[in-house]
Amino acid sequence: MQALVSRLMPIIQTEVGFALLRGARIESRDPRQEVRDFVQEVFVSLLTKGGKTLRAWDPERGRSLDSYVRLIARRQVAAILRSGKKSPWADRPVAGDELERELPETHGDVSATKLESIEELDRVLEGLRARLDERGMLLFEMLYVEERSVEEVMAATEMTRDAVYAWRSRFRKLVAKLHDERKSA
Amino acid sequence: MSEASFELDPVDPIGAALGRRAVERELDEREQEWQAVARGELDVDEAAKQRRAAGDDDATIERAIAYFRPFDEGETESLVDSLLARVGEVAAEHKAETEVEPEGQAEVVPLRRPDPAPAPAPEQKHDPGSSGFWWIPAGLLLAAAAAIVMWWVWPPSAELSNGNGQQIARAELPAYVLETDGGLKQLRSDSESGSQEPGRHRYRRDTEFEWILRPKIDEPGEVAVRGFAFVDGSSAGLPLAALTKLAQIAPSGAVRIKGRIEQLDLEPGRYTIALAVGRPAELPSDAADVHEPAADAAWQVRRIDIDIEE
Repeated sequence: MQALVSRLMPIIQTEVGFALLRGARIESRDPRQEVRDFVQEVFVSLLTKGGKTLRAWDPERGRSLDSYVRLIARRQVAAILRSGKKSPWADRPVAGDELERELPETHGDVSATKLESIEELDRVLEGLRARLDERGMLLFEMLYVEERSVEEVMAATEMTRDAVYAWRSRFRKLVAKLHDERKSA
Repeated sequence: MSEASFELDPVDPIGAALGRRAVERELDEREQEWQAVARGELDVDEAAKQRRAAGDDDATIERAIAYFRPFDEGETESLVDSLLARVGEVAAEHKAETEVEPEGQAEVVPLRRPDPAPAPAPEQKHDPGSSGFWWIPAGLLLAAAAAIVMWWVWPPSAELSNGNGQQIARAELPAYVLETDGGLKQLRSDSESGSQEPGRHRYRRDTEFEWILRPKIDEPGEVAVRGFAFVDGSSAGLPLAALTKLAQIAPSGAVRIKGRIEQLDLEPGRYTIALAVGRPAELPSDAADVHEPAADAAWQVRRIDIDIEE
């Protein structure tokens, strides 16, 4: 266990540290104790249920061990921090009405290879940040940055499965629209 | 945290690419000094000095020191003890859950079970509600837990065994050279106008291609290849899953990659194809590792610039 902790500690402590440093902290707590607690929770999430999460790492899926552990740490820290916040959209309608109104009827799909240049990706990301509301950014973060399952997103946001799928469909159309806008500019 | 799926939606590669880029940007924005402190590569005081020079205020620096200063021996021991206590309890519950499941439906259980202990001394008492490992001496439990966890993370490599249970030394990989077919022959008019850049291979989607990675001396050990495509001028790489199916490995260790360009699943455009060759378990998984390989990487990368036309 000592060897495992030594191996993974720098990655996990880095993820926890930057999440806390970016302002997500509880004012009354000792920062050193905060980082100890969060680091422990990340390790537990990796090792619980017979180490199921850690054993799920498969390099054939395209991630190094470091990258995989970084993802798990990011997820766990985000989940803990979110659990301490009241959802700002609990009383709002589930459908993303404001997003839907922006989109014209037809937009072609955009293949991933056309969006792979860093410049293109950055432009679309900036467009998303300007267009998505707080809930939209949360869904983007959970689905595509933290790579959460639809079930986890449903549980965190109190959305139905259909609503999550519908948002995802609108998200793809928005990405296509942002890409087209750039090409025609 | 509920059960997580680690599979990306197979029909949503755009979202995945955007998510990856968002992570890359966030990583790029991180202060390098604190990352180095967490890795034990930079002294805390030196990091603080550099961040102060960069304009960070004292309160932020103080918090960062608290967050990133590596755990000392006492903190690490305390963490290990807590984990063993919590993982041990959960392992016992997990063991109980898997034993009641119908045959054929049980989850994967720990790879080794602790050896049965000798009969406890008459005065030994236990709480039925406590950890399932109560009858194992603490030192043995620690060793067993460490062995189980180590097996999970670093399974024994088949390369180190000759099949008779004897360990053999792993030979260093010889240098590989890349031989190519040269691409489509350029027309006289192309060369005169200078439209074809030297060193680039021109293909059409239906062109046959053949690339060979050849070791300078025969390499009888197990080797494999993994490919990545970098869009011209970009550091964001695509793994070429299809390339593995086109590769054949000769007994000499030579790797031949042969097929039609369209089998690489790339749109027309300009690419740098990076071919990483090495032992199967040591090949890089991330395009970033191939884009800027570490000096001590166990694998080798050879690159070819290609233009794919319609």
